[in-house]
Amino acid sequence: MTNSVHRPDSRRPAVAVLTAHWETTSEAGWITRQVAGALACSADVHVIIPDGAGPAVAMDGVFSVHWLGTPICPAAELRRELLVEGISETGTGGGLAMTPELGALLDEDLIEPWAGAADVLTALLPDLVVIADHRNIGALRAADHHSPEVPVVLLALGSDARSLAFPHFDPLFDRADTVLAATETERSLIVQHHGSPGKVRRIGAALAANPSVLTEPNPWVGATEYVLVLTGVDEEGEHEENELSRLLRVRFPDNPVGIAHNDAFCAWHEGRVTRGWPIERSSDLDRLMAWARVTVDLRPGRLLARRCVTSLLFGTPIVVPEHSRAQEHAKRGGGGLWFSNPADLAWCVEALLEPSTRQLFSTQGRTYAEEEYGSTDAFIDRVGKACDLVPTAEPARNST
Amino acid sequence: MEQPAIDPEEFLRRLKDEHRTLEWEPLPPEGIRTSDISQARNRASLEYLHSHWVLPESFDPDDAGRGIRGRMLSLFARLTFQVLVRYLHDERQLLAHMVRVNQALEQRCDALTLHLQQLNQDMIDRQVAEAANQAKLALWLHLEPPGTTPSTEQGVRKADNEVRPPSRT
Repeated sequence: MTNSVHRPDSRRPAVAVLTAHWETTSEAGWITRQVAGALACSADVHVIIPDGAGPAVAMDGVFSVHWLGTPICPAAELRRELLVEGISETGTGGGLAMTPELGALLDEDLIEPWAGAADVLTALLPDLVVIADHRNIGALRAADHHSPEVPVVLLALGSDARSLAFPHFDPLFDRADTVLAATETERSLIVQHHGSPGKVRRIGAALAANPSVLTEPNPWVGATEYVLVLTGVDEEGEHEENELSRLLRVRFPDNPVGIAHNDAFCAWHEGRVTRGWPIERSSDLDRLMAWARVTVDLRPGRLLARRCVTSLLFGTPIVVPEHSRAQEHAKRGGGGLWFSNPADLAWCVEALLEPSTRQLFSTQGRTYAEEEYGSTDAFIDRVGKACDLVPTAEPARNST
Repeated sequence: MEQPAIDPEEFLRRLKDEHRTLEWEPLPPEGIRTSDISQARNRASLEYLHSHWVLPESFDPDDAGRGIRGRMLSLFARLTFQVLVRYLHDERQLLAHMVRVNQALEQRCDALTLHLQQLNQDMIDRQVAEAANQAKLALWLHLEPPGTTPSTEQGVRKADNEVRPPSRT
């Protein structure tokens, strides 16, 4: 990688991470922070975000966060999402050229918030620019406005296959020297639509199974031999996930079934239900997954399916919907099964409740999860190599 | 001792095979008819949509009533409309586009519904015809006397259950 700015050898490289949001609630936000953290082992990381009431700089751990004070309107992001969805459904995105009007509509109110980023980049003189999200055209314009020669790494965050294939976002893939994908499914999709397999790198993530939960069962379901169902929706409401969870508790009445909704946790056994508070702490979810016979994630994360990996790290096999990101963990990692219809779901759970079968999937899944996601050092190494940065002994400590 | 690896894809295929059951299902009776509903469009909703999407352009003084109160209301209403006229115009354009899109979608739905009904009817006709044909074949096979099959003199050797061509003499 060729740095556009000459720096003294003694100085750590500077990396600018351009991201629309700096948070950890979503999988995309979480993986962005993970990558920034990995880069901080070998560089000074400056995070540039459009949020904030006005231009400001603040410290967030090892990161310098530059607020531009021009937040992106949520409606603009929603409009882009709906347009991509609508145009992809009608075939315009893949088959026909985008019209300038549609392109302008896609970028409306999403480019201007990044106007101040070029000045920040000019002041920082970064050796590397990392753009989070393959739809972040505004960040690319800012980077190019600063210097068309600056190396760019694209953290794709491609949770939607249609969006990855959408031609309007091709300039980001074309401009990037390296594209980072979280999973093999995402990497394959990017290569399929944009080619250049050499520059698309799978980095995975760094996840750890808290060993303490293995000594403390969560008594919410009242036993340890239960099926844990994660619906991802509210208890009330006509969701397919609720129908499927109902099917499971009716199909396995003798087996305790813990159903986690967004607004409640229901423990079913022999036709009786004990209703409790929803899962709020991640440690509670970890303890539930660690002691379950099988984890059924009906709405896994669209980017990485983080909960499924955590379940595998605890040695609990998973059952997930076909064509979800979690299917990769079940299929490639051999950590579980996937279903395409309600009958498949019932058969998969039934099969995994059989102790010898469960043991096989448990061992395979744990081995896969530990190899691919269990090591923080390996993750830092993968990110560093992909970005052509060599980790130093310790990350820089910023005094606040 | 190391446990044997298990391929989830293969396991899933076997699982489905084990649970697959062959079920006999009766053919649909001849002359089955699908629903007569040929339009997806809900006439009442469509009429309501077309009647109400146009926002008012001005205030009707008759709505305010008479007297000082009526005049005050009229004054206030006219002022409100003058302030909001641009917004109301934009809103009307938006609604007009939405009505057009809805109209187009409903027309397309109607066309697809008709097409689907035709395909469904064609399929049922074909199924009925095939069922009738199979019934004829079964009847023909049932009525066909065994004597029409080749006899031992004509080359059937039942000793080894083999069918061979007639010997040339």
